[in-house]
Amino acid sequence: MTADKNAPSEAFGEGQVAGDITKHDLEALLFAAGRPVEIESLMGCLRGRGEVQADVVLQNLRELEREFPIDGPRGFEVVEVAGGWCMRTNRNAEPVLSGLFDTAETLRLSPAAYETLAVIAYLQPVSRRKITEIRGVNSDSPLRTLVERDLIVEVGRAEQTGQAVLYGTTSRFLILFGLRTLADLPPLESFEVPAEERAELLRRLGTLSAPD
Amino acid sequence: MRLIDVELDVYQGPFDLLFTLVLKDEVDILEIPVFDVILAYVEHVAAGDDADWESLSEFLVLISSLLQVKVRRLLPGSIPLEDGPSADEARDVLVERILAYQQCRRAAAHLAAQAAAEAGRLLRPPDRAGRVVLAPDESLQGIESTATLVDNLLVVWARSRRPDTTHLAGLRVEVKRQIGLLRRLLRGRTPLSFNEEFGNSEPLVQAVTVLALLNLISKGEVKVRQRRPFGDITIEAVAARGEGTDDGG
Repeated sequence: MTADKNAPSEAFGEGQVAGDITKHDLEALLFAAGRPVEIESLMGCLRGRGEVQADVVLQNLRELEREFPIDGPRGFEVVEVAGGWCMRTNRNAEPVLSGLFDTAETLRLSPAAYETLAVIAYLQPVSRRKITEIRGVNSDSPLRTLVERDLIVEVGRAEQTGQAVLYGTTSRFLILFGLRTLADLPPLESFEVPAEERAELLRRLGTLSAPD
Repeated sequence: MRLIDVELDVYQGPFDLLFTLVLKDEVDILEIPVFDVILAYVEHVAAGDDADWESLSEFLVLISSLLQVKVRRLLPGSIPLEDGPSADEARDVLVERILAYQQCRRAAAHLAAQAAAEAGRLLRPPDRAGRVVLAPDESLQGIESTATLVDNLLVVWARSRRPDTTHLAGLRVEVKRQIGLLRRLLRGRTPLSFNEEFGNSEPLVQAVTVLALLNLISKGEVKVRQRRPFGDITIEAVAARGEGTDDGG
């Protein structure tokens, strides 16, 4: 065990403290996972090295976050996303990455699907009926697309209103939109129709007297 | 006509259409040819494969609200309707719904922009990794700690043993076998009493024997008689056909 602890530390060169082994391990874990990993899971993996403290793990993750910051000078970044930690490419590398992958293909959704997704993201858990009510049009097809793309799932059934299926967003949604939690979404109020446009609508519908 | 362009938006949905008509297109409600809108919608629905009653009725409600609002504008002193919502109420409901939808559309636009901004951030798929030990994210929603879950599952797993199956005797019964058995019994003596021979057997054996019996009846090898429902069955071999009926089984 002691030998294990020392071996990788030496690779860091002189002056490195033994605590670096945690950072070294975390870096490997985040690189290999390919998806956000919760702190608890990271701690579970680190158990093979002996006792680990949550605050030490978090401290090391924060250090990695500083070393590989979002949109920073490095090709990848360490971020907290979707309730876990992950390593992902820097979006400034997108022009070159598009030589490997069709990055735009990751999330090509119709306007109808985006509207449906917005309703679910903000009002979840939400029923099909409520979505239809807000959009003013049947939303079965965008719902199917979103389920197929693993952006939403059935999260339960309504206690009233005939056990209607309720939808919520997935962790893939959080990953693709770069959100730590749903609380990272801008408040719904920020999308309210501006007073000017609202007045215009009311005027055209005859609530306010028309200028003619 | 300018509205032809707008008609193409019909497929986007009623609210979208209304909003475009009322606001974006800079058309006063008095200038909206409601009939053309209805016509465009009907054509759109007719072109579709399946009738979507929900959005059809939704459209009816919307278009009638719009009509009510328009009537109010055209005839300011018109007599209010006896029942149902007043023109003002109808308009307020319409306005609220259009605004709510508009808010949803703005949120959707934000999400689309966000998705585009995040598109360059790729997670590395672990192509050469072994079997995934971590549980899928979705299955862990609502569970505070994955580590605790793993620990608990390990305890449950350690406790579990193979279930005791000693009380389950291997019951082997086949229609084919029962046919053979019936033929052998009938060769010895005929007629036979079903209850005497199989009355003490397992229900499954009895059931399979009845199937075997039906098979023999259809082949014309036996005749059966049952005086009353659920009574004993008397089985008699049809001897006249000779040895030929025995096709080996």
